[in-house]
Amino acid sequence: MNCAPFDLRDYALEELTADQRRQVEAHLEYCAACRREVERLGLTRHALLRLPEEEIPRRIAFVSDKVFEPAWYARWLHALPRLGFGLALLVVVFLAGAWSQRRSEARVLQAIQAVEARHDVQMRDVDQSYRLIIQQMNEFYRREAEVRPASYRQ
Amino acid sequence: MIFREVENRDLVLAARGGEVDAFNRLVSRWEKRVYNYLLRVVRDREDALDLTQDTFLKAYRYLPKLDDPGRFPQWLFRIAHNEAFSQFRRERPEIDEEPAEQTAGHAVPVGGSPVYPVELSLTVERALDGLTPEQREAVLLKVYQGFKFEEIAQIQLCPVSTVKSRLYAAFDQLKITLAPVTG
Repeated sequence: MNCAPFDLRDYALEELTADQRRQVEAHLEYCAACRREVERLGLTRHALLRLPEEEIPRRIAFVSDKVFEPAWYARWLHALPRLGFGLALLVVVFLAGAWSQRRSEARVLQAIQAVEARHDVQMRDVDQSYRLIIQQMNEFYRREAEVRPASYRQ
Repeated sequence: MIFREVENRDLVLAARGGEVDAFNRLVSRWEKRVYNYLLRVVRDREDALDLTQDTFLKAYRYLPKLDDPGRFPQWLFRIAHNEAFSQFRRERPEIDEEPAEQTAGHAVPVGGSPVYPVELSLTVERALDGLTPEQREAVLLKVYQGFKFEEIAQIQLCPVSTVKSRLYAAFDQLKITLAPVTG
């Protein structure tokens, strides 16, 4: 225990604000017991800091080293979103292709139907023309038979 | 110090952006400190080395999840803390319970004679060994890594008041155990 305005361990551990430190230091000016306590804490801290840092026996692997490579399952796990996206893209491309093919097939079918319709109309016209010609020929032969002499008819 | 913090943040941002070299620089910068921290927590060189490697592996993997790149050191030591205490739990499941008082108050038998650096190191190591794992870790983070109480609380995942009581108790004990070498 001490009579300082703040905990002397906080002072020794440098956890006080500048103003708080000043207050403690003003107190230490006239309090020998607190001064001794601060000195003991300082020496303890100093002794702790004398413990040397050790060098690492071997360097820690860098990201470029094999140890940082993810496991096969982790690679699959990380690749899943990309795989999913790729798959979705493939499906979209396939569907777009199928749709486009169906559209072009429909267009070709439409064109064939149009040609056939035109052909039908033309054929109907030809048929009518033939019928007219045959009708006219029949009429011609009938008239000719009427005007031809009877002997000739035998 | 401020310049260093800015550099850490920049390196974290660059590493997040896919610059492998930026993370390698973070490894170079922090590996010794993390290793020494873990070495003093687990007190075994091979374990400390493995745990340091695991710490950086996890840091690399979870770097995108770090909210504030400026707080990289605390975050890194938090990972190291988790690694060390996971190992403790694997080896000694009773670590979750309040650790029993160990050699509290035992004087280190060095008094009187002059203290050489090796002797001092051994005394300090033994004094640290006399603390509970949580107290020892708090001392390591405070004295050797220079973290503030609040930052230690984030690393140890406990209230600031707990950090304070751990450190106060540790220092009260260390004052006694190190008295022979501190005069």
